[in-house]
Amino acid sequence: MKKFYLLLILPLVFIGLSISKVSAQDVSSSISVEITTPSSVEVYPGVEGAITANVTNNTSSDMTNLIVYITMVDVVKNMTVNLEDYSADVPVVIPELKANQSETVTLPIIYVYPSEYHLYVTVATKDNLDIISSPSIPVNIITLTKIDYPLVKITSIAVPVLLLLAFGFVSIQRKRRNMTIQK
Amino acid sequence: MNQFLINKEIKENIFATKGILWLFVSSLMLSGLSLGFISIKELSLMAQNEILVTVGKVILGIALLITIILGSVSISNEREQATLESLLLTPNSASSIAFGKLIGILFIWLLVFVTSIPYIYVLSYGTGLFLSTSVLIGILGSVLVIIFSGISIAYSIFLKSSKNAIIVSILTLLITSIPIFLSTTMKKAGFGKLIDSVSPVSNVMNLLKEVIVKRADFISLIHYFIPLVIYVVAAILFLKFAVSKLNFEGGE
Repeated sequence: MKKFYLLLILPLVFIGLSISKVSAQDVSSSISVEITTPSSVEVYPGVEGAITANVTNNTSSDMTNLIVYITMVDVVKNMTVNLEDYSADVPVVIPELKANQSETVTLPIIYVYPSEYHLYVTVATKDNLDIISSPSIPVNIITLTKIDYPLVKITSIAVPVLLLLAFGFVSIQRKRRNMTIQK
Repeated sequence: MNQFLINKEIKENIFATKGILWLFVSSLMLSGLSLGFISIKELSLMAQNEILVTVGKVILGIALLITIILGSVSISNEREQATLESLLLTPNSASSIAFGKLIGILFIWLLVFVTSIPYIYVLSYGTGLFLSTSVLIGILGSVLVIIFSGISIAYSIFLKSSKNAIIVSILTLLITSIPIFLSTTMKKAGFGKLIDSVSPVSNVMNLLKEVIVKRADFISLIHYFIPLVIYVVAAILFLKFAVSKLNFEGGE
């Protein structure tokens, strides 16, 4: 009897899983987003740039208030970045996207901190909990660190030592002056 | 303004043991930080412009603390040591005494700044940012020192006690530094945004970041300078008002 129930239930479970999978695919394919330019970035810090992305409504109904924004992952430090530092934290809102229509958005960014990143564009809507992201592009902000380590070490030791000598000199001068006054 | 008074203040601040000792302690802090940037793994991963912003913040923080303490004790110490009366009896006006103290404090800031220049040089090495960073820190530091030492000297006159003046001055600094403790999201709207745009400390920190990290030009940053100019004028007017209340009454 148990085997009979199992045989009855298992196909139902598989059918349920396949239905939910199909519906998820339907949702994610309702909007598509891709970065059109650039295909990769390699810059020095401080350079201003712009990411152009193409957002497409694949459904037969109009969509409203699509929020398009940049996300960047630092693949060296294994963390997402605070895009406010990169002046890229303000999303672009598409008020209306007609059925089967595309719209191109331009997202400004200033490349700031040297590291290697993956940058991608995400679209979110109020009507749908699913978010859709584009494939990422590699971003390499080239390090400008040219710190001369021995120079830093010498300075870090020399400045306090010089001030200590000045301190000693001032103390001796004051003592001498006091002794002169006492005499 | 009486040159003798200014010389007296500078000598008292610099040739006293505390003056050189403060410079020594601040150089130790900057040395520790600089060595950290080249030896601690997390710090050594920072970009050079990011390092310069951090160092700039530390320099300004040190300068603010020193100047606030010097300003807070400037008049009240004279009162507590019963030397204020003799100072007021000299031909110098109360105003020139107070502003002489302010210039003396500015001179201490100048020394802190000169001490920090070797650190700025070695940490900006190869970036071409040495001149702009030094000039920026010099200007912004002078502005902050005028604002906070002016307010502290005024407190020193009003409160007649060094202890109280130091506490109130540090509280004033903390209140104006609130945006530093707020998250990025909080600073984007409402009260957080308002206080971030009006706080002198916040405006100075934002300016450092905009010029050194984002390399923005000065003209596009005019909105950061306006509140600072207003604060400088307000601090001087506040000090002038406090000076008008300076009298011969005994201290605590």
